[in-house]
Amino acid sequence: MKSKIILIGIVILASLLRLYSISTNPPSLSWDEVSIGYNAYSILLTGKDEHGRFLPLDTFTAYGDYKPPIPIYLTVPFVALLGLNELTVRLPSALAGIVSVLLSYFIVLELFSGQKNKLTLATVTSILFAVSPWHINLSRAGFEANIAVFFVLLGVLLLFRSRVNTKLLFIAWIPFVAAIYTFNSSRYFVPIFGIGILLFLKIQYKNNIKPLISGWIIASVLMLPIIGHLFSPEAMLRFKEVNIFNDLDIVLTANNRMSLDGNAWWSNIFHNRRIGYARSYMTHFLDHFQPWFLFLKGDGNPKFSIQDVGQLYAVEAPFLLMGLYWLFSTDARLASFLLFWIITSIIPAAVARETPHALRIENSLPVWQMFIAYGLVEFIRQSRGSKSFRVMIIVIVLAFAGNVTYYLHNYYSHYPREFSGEWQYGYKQAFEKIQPIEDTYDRVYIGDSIGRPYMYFLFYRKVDPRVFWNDNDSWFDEAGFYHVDRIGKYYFIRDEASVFEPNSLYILSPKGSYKYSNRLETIRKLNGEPTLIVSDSL
Amino acid sequence: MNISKHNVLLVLIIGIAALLRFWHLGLVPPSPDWDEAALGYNAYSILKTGKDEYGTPFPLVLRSFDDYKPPLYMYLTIPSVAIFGLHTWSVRLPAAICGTLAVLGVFFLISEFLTVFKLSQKRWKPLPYIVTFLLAISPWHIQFSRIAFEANIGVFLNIWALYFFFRGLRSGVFLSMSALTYGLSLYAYHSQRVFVPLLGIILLILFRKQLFLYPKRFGISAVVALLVALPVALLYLSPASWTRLKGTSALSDTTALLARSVQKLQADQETGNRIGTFFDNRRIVFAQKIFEGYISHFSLRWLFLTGDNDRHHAPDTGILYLWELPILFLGIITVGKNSSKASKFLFAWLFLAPVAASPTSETPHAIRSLVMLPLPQIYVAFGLLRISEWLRVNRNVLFYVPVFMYTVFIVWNTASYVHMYFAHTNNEYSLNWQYGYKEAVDYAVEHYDKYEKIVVSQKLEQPHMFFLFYLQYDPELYLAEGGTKSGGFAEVRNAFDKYEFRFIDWENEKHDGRTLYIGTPQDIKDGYIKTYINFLNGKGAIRISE
Repeated sequence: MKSKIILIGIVILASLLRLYSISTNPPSLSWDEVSIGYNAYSILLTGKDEHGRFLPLDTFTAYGDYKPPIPIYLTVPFVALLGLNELTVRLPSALAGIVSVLLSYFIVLELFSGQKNKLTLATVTSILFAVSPWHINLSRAGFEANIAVFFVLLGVLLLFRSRVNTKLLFIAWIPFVAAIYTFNSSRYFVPIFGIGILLFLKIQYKNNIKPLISGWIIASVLMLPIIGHLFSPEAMLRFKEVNIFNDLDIVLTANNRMSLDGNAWWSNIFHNRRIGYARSYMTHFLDHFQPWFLFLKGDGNPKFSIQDVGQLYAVEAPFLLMGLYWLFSTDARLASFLLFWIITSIIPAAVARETPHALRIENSLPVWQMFIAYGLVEFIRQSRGSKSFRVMIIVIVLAFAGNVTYYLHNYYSHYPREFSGEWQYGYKQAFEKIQPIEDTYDRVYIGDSIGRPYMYFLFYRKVDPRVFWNDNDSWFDEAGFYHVDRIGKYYFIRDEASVFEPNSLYILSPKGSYKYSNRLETIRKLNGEPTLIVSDSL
Repeated sequence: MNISKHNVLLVLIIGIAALLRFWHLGLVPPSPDWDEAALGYNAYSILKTGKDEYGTPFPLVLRSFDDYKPPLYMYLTIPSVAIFGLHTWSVRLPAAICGTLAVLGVFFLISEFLTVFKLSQKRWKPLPYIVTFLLAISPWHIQFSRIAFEANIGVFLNIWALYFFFRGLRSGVFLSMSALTYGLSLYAYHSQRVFVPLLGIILLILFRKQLFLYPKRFGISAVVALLVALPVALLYLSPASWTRLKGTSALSDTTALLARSVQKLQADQETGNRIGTFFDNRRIVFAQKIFEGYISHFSLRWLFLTGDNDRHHAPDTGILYLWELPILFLGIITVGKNSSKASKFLFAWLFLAPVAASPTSETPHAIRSLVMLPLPQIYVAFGLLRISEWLRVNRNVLFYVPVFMYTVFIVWNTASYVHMYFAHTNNEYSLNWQYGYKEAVDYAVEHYDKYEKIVVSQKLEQPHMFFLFYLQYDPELYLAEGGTKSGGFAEVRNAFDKYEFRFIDWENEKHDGRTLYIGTPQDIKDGYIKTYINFLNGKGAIRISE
């Protein structure tokens, strides 16, 4: 009973932290969020995506970045009920985040089922997960990765429960398939992780061969729609752009070194380019364990981290080490499995150039919190009875409270102000500003300084997709990206204009604006810097 | 095995250590950097005149480039310079000797370590040999055993002092020797002055029972330690000694550091945010910065793959071997399972080692945290022993394949480092070793009579020292001409004989053919070059003109 009340308390805490003023902080919708929102809207109204494709099951072309389908379909009901706005685009991720916290509680109960203090561990893990800056930041915006984490956790729980109730093996793999339909990195994470978890679980597979095989067959059938896309050139295209294996410097260095060695046969053993690439991969892999990334600044991209606290809290650092140390000392098998979980989440992310990357390794949540909770609980248990026990508890509680307050203070008081630019702040305000006056102009030109203005236009004007399809100029470039140059009288142009046409309204950045134009409005970012200028010709 | 076989093994390991430390000592790295040149010339100066480059007789602190170096390395260089003359390799000789003796010391240290922590079972017998071998081939230790840097002497003294301490738990003489050695190490390197007292406290706590059993022994040793340390402690009464601390502190450039916090505080005050005025506070920024510096030393990427400054590692190698990564973690667990006291001691060491480096700029820093040696090697040795034990119990052909593959990786990784260090450091990092001065000095000497003045650009970073070093300029004469004015980076008054060390302003220099100019490629315009000196990778280092 008591544990139920605590659990309800944790869920309320998680909800508050994930839902409170979610429409205004992060301060505006990113280009991915408006795209997800508008595609959901388009599905709702017409059954087709923005490109007019009927109910895509494999992928949404979107900007040419081929978005996974599930996050968009999950957004549809919210848009249907509450309209197309910030809240409805963000709710699927936020709700997935809240349920993930709940799931983490039950997963810890399963993982640590042999331990006496498993209830305490589950409680502490879920509290740490509820207040995790990593998870809060990613739950509060429409991030596909966050929904994928929810599916993975659901799958893990079902698989663990199937130790008792083997019937669950029929459906336990479905959430993993859903994760593949939800986030790109999960496509690599899920298969490797699935094998690991099977080896770890020690289910009496021999006696349950029927539900096990049936479960796989069901999962395989569900995979059919997306298989074609996974191996398509489009999916590979995006991979090629971000991966480290086309770095020419490595080849050059290798060649230079071999020529210095007189191109001796053995030189190839030390300097061949594959070794250079392997080393580069290891470097990107270990990037994710950089102390500043984990405990101080977090991901360099302000969308994923507020730059004031790490992906984890600084006070968690000693407990993470203790947790790793003690869990490996007492239950090496479980500890290895958990470490495998983290490593597997990094394996696909380390292929990319931008590392460390908080979003691409989000599948490692909430394993960090499990180790930290183990360290914390074990530390308190071991120091019970010592003279300074009370002081120690007070210090730990104060340190955690201080760290969490510091994060929340910065998140609410400074984050939106400092980083509204990173959240593509501006187009919404510009479209609001021009609404009363635009009828008097023949044309409206919108510069691309913030990015993808056409989508912000579609989203905030709630343009009926059928209207959009009937009257636009659009094309795909060589790299496969989608460009819209015109919708009706709205022209989406590069951010520069040397001469302004008469009867035209311009929305351009301060840099791109024509010097001698008639400035009507200035749109400012939340830190006061001008980002867009509305003007017409003199 | 009998005793003689063991001795052969030990001699073999020390032989490998010596080979890796003495081979091509003056040739790899290709040239002495400024600190090496300074230590060498000051030793030369003391040898000839009893005074350093500033005219200070037998200094306790070496002012050098206004960085106030601890003096021990310089004094150790005097005999080497006296016997062999002033050369790159003779200046590096004390480092190589102490580096090799440190490897030997580790053997004794670990043998005592096993006794002290009651790990004397047969299964731990090979441990001293393994740790000694690992230190012999350690990239971190080799790097700093082959150059005239002070920190390595500190590690050498730490190892022997700890060995003396462990023996001293049973014998008063050794305890006093430990106190003396630890005290001496305070004169070796700055980090020692933070690390040694902290380690002393840990040793005191862990071994209080044994130590207080013989109050007289303990008292004598304590007095020895205090007496040896006293001159260092007195140094810190003078403000000059704090200069280096301020110069290397990460907190000295407050404007850049606090910029964001100041903005936030203003915003808080505008909105009347009480919590904000408490949190957006420079003390928190400072604390974060120090914590960042501290924790950066636990970066796996830094330790196992990249290293920091290119002067601190071989190309494409970290300061530990990549193959040691998983085994090190296994070793940490293994120690904990077998001796909680040893585990506590090693953890204390691990967590104290980066303390001295944490408030400095440029973290992580392989030299300032060098006191960590030979701790990683101890952990790795425990891990290796654990694996071999496990393999002996689980005799399964299935395991042979991965074990064989990993062994191949270990051999390849180690050979690759040795090759990278000896065959590629010079080519790729000659810039970091300030290559080119010897060639420039040779040119100046050859054309000495043609010119009235020889001007060397201060942009070449402390050129006066390199000229003194390579010319083996008579210290007596140098001091008579005024010695060094100051070692600041903007100093323009240093001069001796025909040589002037200042900034070159190319447009306003007299181009009358009677002055020789030696400067960076930025100092001397393209059309005027008489000759030039390149780094070993072919990029421009020094230009010479009239």
